[in-house]
Amino acid sequence: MEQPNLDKIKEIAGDQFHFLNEMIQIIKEELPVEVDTYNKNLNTGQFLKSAEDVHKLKHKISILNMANSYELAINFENDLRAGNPELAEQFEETLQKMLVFVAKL
Amino acid sequence: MNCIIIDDEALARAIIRNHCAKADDLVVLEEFSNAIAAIKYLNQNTVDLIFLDIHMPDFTGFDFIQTLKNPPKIVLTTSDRNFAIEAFEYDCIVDYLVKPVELPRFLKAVQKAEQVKPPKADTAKPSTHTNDSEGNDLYVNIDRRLIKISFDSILIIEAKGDYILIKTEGKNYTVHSTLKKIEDKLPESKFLKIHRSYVINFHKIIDIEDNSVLIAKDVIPISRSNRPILMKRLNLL
Repeated sequence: MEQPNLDKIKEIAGDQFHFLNEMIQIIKEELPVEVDTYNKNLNTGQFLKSAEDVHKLKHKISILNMANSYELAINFENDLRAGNPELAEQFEETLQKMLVFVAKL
Repeated sequence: MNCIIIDDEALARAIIRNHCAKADDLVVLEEFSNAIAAIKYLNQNTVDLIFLDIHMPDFTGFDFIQTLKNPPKIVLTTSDRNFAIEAFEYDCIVDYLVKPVELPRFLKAVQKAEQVKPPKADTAKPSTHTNDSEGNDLYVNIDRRLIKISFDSILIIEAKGDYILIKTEGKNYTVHSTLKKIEDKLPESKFLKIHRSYVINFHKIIDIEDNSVLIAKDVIPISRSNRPILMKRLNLL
């Protein structure tokens, strides 16, 4: 299964080292909060809200260069809007990988 | 040009802000994490360009555009490619950028914004506005059959991903379409969008409580942005 990496962030930052660090710092702060909000909404059966949370997380997934997980997120978001949380377990794996990766940065 | 950035994500704002510094003659006046604060700012300030996130809690980018009487040029930012179709129904929207926004694509959007003439007044409404359809019925395609649904029988229409659920007095229909598309086919005198995911038959309301409407047995949420429109339509004693 694919792993998060910094290739995309480095591409966006180019030779701006400070900007690279700024983006990493923001991700370190924002990602746990977004994941937490998603979990709360999912666990209370608020699928429409959790679909919005997944939508928001797509940006982080994409910037951490996880193409397959991005596709999973698209499907999961659509499923949640239709009231179907079946992909939650699979999505959780993606989130855990991202959290572990980001915590080590 | 001067611009403002509206996005609830700090990461997205940081990227746009950084890219703005790379563009010639583009000054970031302010950044906002929510649309309400931006509306307050725009009540007192004029800007040439807005970088606007579509997906924000409570108040979407499209809700925001509808509140602007004379919107400036707008470049949408989104994590969702599907929104592009709806985006270009607004004259003020000059481009859209998919997140994460890369610099070359960003600069192209800015160039496009520079070349486009400022939008005419009152262009916040979609240009394909064709409400108050003729006739009393709507035909929907379900399993290769065109099924007639009378406007009067419709209670609620709910967005469900790539589909819409049309609830009528007798039956429910799931149709592959968008809320926007069906909204354009419905008569304005009967139907009203009260939430990003719901259009209701105004005449079927049983009661309204706080931020929800009761129609038949369904409790439908009213979004903060649509509440004033709903309240305006009520014949209040």
